[in-house]
Amino acid sequence: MIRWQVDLTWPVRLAFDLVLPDPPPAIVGLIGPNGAGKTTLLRHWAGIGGAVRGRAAWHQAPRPADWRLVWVPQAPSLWPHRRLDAQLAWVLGRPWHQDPEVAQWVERLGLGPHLHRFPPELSGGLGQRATLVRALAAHPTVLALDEVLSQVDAGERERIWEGLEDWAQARPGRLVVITSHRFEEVRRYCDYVVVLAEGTAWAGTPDALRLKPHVWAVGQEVGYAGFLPDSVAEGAAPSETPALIGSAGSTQWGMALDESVLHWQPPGPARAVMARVRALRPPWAVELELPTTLGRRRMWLPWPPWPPPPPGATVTVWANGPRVASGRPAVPEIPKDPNP
Amino acid sequence: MPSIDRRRGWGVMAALAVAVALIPFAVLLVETPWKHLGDLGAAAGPVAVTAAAGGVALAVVVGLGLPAAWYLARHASTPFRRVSEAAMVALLLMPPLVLGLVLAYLLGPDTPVGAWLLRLGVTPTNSFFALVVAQVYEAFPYFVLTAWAAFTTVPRVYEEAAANLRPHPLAVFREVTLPLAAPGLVAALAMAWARLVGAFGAVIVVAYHPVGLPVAIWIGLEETGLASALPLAVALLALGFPVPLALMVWRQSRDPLAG
Repeated sequence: MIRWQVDLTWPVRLAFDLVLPDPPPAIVGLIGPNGAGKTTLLRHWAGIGGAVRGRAAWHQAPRPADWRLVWVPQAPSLWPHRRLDAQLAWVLGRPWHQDPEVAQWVERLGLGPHLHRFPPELSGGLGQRATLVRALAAHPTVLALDEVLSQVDAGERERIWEGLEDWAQARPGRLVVITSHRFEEVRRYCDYVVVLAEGTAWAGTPDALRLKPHVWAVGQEVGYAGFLPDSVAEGAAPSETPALIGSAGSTQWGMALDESVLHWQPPGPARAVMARVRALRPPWAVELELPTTLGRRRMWLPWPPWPPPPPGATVTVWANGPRVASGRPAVPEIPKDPNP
Repeated sequence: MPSIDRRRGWGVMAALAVAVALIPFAVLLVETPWKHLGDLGAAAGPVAVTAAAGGVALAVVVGLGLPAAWYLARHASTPFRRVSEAAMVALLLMPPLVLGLVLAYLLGPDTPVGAWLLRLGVTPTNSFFALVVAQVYEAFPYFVLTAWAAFTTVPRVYEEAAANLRPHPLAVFREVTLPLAAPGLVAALAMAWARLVGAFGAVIVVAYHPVGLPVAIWIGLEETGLASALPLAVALLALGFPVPLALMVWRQSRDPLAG
């Protein structure tokens, strides 16, 4: 059982109490906007964080006697004045090839021919791989990676993630925590995601969070591009007709942008309707309150793949028949793309 | 973009500055009675005094200054850092002669400190001890400020990574901090040595005896004139220069943070 109990007031305001699912996931994604506290937390847990006000506890049961979180920062941290093999030996306390796990990683990442070199001679991706192996040489319980594979090419990265999954599962209590700005990567390799936003944390499987991001800040992190303006919601009337929602997977909802008109056509039986547009803000994702056979449900529909309509375009949300909302969206204030 | 002519103008200015810097060496080269340098027997005593006292003083400066510089660069609170910096700069700016007067007031046999030292069997002024103290004071701020800057240039991320991977502060300092700060520390060491060996203002007030090289030069100048002082000056240069010069060259040849 792993439980994060955080109540910080400085340098970030952050409070949550989170129990990770049991059995613990192999790779946990920690995402959130800049300044949300990801790095502060990881550094604090690694024991190098500097002063914080409040507390941030990592409970783990059973807790390995040699519990240790090794944090790999985003900035290059290989010591420029030591050869790679010397760095590994310093961390291990003996030559790298005497440690089977490290030797295996050296081979897996193809570092063997480069171990006699100094870090300034390495390319960015090679340096990042070497940093990863050096971190693993410290035999951590928890390996926290802060955006560390950004310069490794895609195929290689895939292999590394798979290797890290194996690493985490090789011994009980091990865990990999990654921070990333690429939600697609998080979604692919993490069994569990914690989003830090607005001073607290939301957690769940990547797909669950994508389907129901709870708040706008989380929606932004998991790939929502925006909302239509609130004003559009005025005049929207709840339908009295019970609806069949069908699959909740957002991609299955028929949405299309056609000459600046937003058409919304749920799949399945024709009588499915949308009742109320709760929030519509530019650029383009909608929070809907839907009447279902089980009662009212709030749902979010992501709207990622299309470019936003031009400013001043009329947006209409259609619910298979009656028009429930239309309006002129405000000039789209395009939020920073979370997946550059 | 500056025209070629203007660039040439700047080049002339730079050459002029270098020439001004080289004049003293040219004078020494021409004026020193190189033939009679062999009978520098008279200089042997002062050279030994300066070298011995300088060695002790350098050890004191490094022993006291290195941990202080590291602490100030890494852990000191902002107010403490500001006060320390001001104190060091004030000491740096204090004219050596004034420093000597202050030290005379501090160490004089009638003062509490002087009396206490006498009771311990240490002669507080005009002694080897006084010479070391005067040299330490003249070199100390130079060393601390330069070493402090050297530690500051080491990116913190290297130390943090090391501390995280092997949580042993001394090992981290030896393996990461010290080698990365080494070029700057070498500059600090070289500067401290040059200051120590050439210390005169404070030394002549509190430690006329034992006669070190700078004071010997002064005596030679006063008693027999330039001609007898010049060989001693060459000896002083010979003592004060090679170490800093060698260290500077070493430093430029291998700076892990450069490039």
